[in-house]
Amino acid sequence: MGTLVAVANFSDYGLWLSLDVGGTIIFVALAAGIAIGLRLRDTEPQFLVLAGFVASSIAIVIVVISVYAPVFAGVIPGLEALGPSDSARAVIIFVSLFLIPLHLVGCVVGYALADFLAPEGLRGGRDLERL
Amino acid sequence: MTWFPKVAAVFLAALAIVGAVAWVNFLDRYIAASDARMQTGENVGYRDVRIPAITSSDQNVTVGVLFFLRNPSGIAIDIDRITYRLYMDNLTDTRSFAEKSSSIFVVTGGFTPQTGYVVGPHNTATVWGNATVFAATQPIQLRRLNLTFGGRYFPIIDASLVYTVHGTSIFEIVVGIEFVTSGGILPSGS
Repeated sequence: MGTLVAVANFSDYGLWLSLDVGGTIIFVALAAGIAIGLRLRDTEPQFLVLAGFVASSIAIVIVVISVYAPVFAGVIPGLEALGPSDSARAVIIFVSLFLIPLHLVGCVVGYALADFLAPEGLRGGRDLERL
Repeated sequence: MTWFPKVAAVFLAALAIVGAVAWVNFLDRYIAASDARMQTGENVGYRDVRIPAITSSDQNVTVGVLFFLRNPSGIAIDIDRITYRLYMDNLTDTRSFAEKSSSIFVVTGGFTPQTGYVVGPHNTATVWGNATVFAATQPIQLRRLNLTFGGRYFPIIDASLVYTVHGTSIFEIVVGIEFVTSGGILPSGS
């Protein structure tokens, strides 16, 4: 998630992959969340939420590392050396925060979808008929 | 195991692979481009300035300035334009350059390729930027140009470079590329 969001934000660099920022954040966060939700069908819901939160937090860390990559590589002393675009960089990091709620929604949707798709008898939800 | 966790696992693996490849490509270009932007300003300068001897007042004179651009970065640079203003210093005028610049200005010149002139990674390029003073329309400029002390010209050149990091839409302007000689230059061909 973090890598693709970072790539989407730096399309000026003539990259191998050109992505729309908003579309990438929504698609990647939801799709990865749904996939994780489907994978973690057998776990407790609170563990799923924790996993989603950790995953999206790591993604944000990757975005921050990407933004500051030239500084970490030692080619520039600070990002201000590349020009007065502090606000643009702040926007990139701020926008990446949307990964958390979107990813959590995706996780919950995936979890519910897994329950819905599971064969009869393997569903984790309550059996209302027995009640 | 039902089918959908397998599909989810394949999707996550594909997403991770595409993300990793795209990220490596991004980091490579971002770091190299940042390196180029940092170092280009310190690696552009002059290799030669040629001003022919002026023998008559109706002579069209073409001045040549040989620029060099070293590219120490790992990504190519496209020279979009080099422009300069040529002044001929009058050593008898003791005012500061800022005060006398308008009275010693001769002509503008430069190098403007049709498409970007590519300087490869870790390569050095040299390009001539020419300027012509036409005797018929620029007699005052020709008179200013034809000013020597001890048989030498004392030109002052103030250039700027516009370049693009190759394959990107990142462009930069380097201003204040100065050429000032204390020893003067001999007229070319003499």
